[in-house]
Amino acid sequence: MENPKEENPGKKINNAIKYSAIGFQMFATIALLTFIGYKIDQHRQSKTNLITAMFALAGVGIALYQAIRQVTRK
Amino acid sequence: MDCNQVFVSKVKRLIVVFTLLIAFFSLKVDAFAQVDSTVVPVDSAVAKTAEAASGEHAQAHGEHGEEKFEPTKVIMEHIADSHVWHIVGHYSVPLPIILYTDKGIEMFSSAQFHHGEHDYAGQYYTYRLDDEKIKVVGADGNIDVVSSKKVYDFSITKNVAAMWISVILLLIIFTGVASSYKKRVGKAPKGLQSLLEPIIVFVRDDIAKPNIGHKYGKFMPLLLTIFFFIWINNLMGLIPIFPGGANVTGNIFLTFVLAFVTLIVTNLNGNKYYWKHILTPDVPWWLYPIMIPVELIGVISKPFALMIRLYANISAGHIIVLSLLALIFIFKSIAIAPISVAFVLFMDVLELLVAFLQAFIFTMLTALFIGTAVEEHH
Repeated sequence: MENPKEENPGKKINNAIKYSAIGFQMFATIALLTFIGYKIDQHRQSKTNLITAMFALAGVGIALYQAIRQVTRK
Repeated sequence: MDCNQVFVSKVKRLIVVFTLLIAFFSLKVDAFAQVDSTVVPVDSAVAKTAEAASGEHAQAHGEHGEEKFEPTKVIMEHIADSHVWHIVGHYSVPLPIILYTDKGIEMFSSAQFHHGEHDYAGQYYTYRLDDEKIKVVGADGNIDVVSSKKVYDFSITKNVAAMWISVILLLIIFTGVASSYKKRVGKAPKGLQSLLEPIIVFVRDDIAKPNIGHKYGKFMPLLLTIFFFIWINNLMGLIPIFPGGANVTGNIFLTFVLAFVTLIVTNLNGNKYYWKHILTPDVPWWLYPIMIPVELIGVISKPFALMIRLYANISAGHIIVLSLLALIFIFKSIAIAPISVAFVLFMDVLELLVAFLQAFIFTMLTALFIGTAVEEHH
């Protein structure tokens, strides 16, 4: 990442694919956590879907963390 | 190779918008044409043929000819797995049905269902084909939900049959190529060999080596298998007639299995640095209860993304092609046909690119995940 000029074109395509995967990964993370929250809410038969919302929010946080970690990894 | 996925999806969206635009204009022309009395007979005759064609099409799928044409239903039927393989017109190949019930294994041909119109009284239960799912019929003639849950369907469906055809093709191609390598040691490649050698070298030099490093040799068989299996299934899916036409790689169960293989291989080959990153990440110890689950979710979400991507891309391609063809039947006008066919041809050429690209991306990301698992600490 320090000197991008020295990277060959093949490496650039690989990077593009790597970063395009991050979007899907964020989606997967958020979906997984929302699903867990939804199941907990269903199990507890709660009136408001508070846990679903909280898990979804946590999912967004975790997805962001993972994305940032992947783009900054050397 | 300068087309990344973003580009392809943008092109697809543009095509859909453009098609709808053209369809809108065609509709206007049609409306004007009906005012002209000389055109009316021709137009209605065309509409009748279109109706007849759509009726025939619907009948081939075991529906009634008078039914209204529902594009969503027809498209989803083509995308989904099936117990019969429709060839052409009224001809379809019945496929074997294998059921594992609580009383024993049952095998019969799907022709017994007569396209879902008849129930079949088997050895243990009476079965009915309900939306391509096999259900148990109770004594009262209705579907018995409790017994249906005990029946597991291990049938050779259309997708399984199509996959076997692809596997046989792969075996024929690669045993041929392998034997010509044995026979022609030290000579220039010939025939199929010269077609496949650059691709195999491409997988080695552009996918395996840069992502995995010097341990790439161990994973080459896996990467090559994944690459050629996905690629040939994508290509077979593009053939509209018999040996192709099944939506194999656009089936989430198949992509799940492929992604699961990636998950298993990655984690079984993970070295101590890989596991150290997950189990004792570089954070203060009191953050571990948060960070370890986060890392574990990362382990699962990576192959999960692979599964969704392949499934979504291939299914989307099939849906677009079928939607373009459905336009003819929606407008009941043969005047749409040239435009539809032209766009379908264009989409098919684009799908040729997508077929290669998705196989490449899947293999690339598998190599990347393996690479992060086996890389030495630096």
